Amino acid sequence: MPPKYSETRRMLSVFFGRPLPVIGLILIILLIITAIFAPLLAPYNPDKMDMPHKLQSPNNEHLLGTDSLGRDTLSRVIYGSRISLIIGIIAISIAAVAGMSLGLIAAYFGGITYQLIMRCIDALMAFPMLMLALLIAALLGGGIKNIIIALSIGMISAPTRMMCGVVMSGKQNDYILATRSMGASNLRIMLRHILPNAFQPLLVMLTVGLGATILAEAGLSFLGVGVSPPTPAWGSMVNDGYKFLLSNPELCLAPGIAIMLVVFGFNMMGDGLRDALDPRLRGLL
Amino acid sequence: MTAYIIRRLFLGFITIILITVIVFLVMRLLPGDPLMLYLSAGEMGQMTPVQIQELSHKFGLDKNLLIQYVDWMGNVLRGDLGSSIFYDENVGSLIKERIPITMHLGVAAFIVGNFFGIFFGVVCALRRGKWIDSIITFLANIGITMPAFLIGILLIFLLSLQLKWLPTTGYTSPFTDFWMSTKQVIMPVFCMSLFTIAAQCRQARSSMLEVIKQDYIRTAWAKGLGEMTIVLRHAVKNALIPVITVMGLQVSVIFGGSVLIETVFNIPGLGRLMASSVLQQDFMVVQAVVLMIGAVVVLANLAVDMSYGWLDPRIRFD
Repeated sequence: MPPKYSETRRMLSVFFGRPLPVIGLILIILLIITAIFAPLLAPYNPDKMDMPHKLQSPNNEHLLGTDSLGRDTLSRVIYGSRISLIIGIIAISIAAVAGMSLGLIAAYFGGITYQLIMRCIDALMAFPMLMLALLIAALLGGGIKNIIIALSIGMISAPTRMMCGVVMSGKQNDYILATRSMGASNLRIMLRHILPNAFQPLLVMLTVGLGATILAEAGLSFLGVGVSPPTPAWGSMVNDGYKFLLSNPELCLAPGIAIMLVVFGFNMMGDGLRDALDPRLRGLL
Repeated sequence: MTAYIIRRLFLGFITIILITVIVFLVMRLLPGDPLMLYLSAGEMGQMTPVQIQELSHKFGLDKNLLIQYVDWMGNVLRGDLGSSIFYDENVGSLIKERIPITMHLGVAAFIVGNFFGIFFGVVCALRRGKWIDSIITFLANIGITMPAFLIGILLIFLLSLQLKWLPTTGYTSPFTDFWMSTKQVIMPVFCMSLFTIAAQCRQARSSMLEVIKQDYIRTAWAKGLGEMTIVLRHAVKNALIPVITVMGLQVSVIFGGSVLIETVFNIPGLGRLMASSVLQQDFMVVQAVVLMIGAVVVLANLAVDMSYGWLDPRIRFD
């Protein structure tokens, strides 16, 4: 008997077929492990200052050297993964939920609601995302909660547009007409029949969006509007270390490379997911 | 065609109004005393509640929100963007000093990014499947994920500090010292254009691939036209629409990138002004810069929209 052709197997074979998405997946798994097991992996307490040993180059005791306050760079990079991941996940989740609700309402009810919401989203998208998040974060002040709010607002356009697209094309289908003629309420149609179509693009958008949010958070921290001082965040570490680029390059480059690897991982994984979940690529690639 | 233009202009106008409303609301509704626009935090701390009341009244902050908006818009349209707390200067003159610098970098990045992006994309499409396509596509996929300001720091580290090929930071006007200006500008422009090159390469490639499959290209081959003629006269024009859309998006990307990159390379442009004003809580400046850049992006996208009508006659009758 020939083996059963299952959808899951096809998706997995597309995803793992190319090297880049697999590398992305490995990087993300490493990130998650680092964030969860930070206390076990980090050799020192990231906040522990050790002034006599400040600004050391990498040596046997401090694998990545120490910063201007004597804190161990490697531990700070490891703990920084927690901040980046937490802020990123919460911000993109809020943006996704809010954006998708907006998009669902706009596209389902059409007409004026749609025009109004889409015009607002267009106007929001006219601002470069970093500037918008910067403006909001600056007004609210620094701190984790405010950054999350700022980043959520900055990232809200993409889910809204995605949802609008899904609903607009979903609305045309005959099965929606059939459900409505059977007496289904608007809410039920929206949630039970149209929404599931959004899961696949949602997954891709969450992955790539998480990378973009982590990058934006790094940018905000680099500019000084990020998390408050003792908490290690990669962006602020890059900012602090930039002054010492000539003498202690690893202070700046280590968190910088961490950011690059994480964003790269999310983007590659998102690319792979997009190809794997796209039914039109069945059999191709 | 005129109906199309008028409709697009109208929508563009509405978007610009919405932008001003958004900037205004963000500045006024978020927690934090709106007086922060006019005074620094230090000064505010030293005032008695009565004095704060008086100042609120003087700056019109106790009026109806709508009236405040109209007043503010009236000022903006007359060119009065307020005065900066930190620099003690007119915001307008601050911005005017910095616009040419950011324009220099931004326009250079835009031209370089789009030119090389489209060029590589077309090359990849024409040589699809060959090794040059694989390499360039691979690089484009990686390039599109690279954070520009970190690449900037890496480049400074490698090219300026280690190899000493290029000056580290700073900016000179090309009119004062052309050679130095070019050397200083290479790295920032490269970083700002990186995303554009990668995005445009992917878009141009996929767009060209679509066009090349068309029957009219086959006819051209059958007629015996050379590859260069076919590409330049027939293929490129038709592949242009998604490419121009991406160009419009790059305006926003380049402005966004300028904030971080001008900070990294210490270039006195609009981006760095925004970054430093945010830190100094100089919100008048921040408000004006965000407003200006939003308007410019809307205008750029408007131009892109207009060009659709010119490029594809079918759209004019939409």
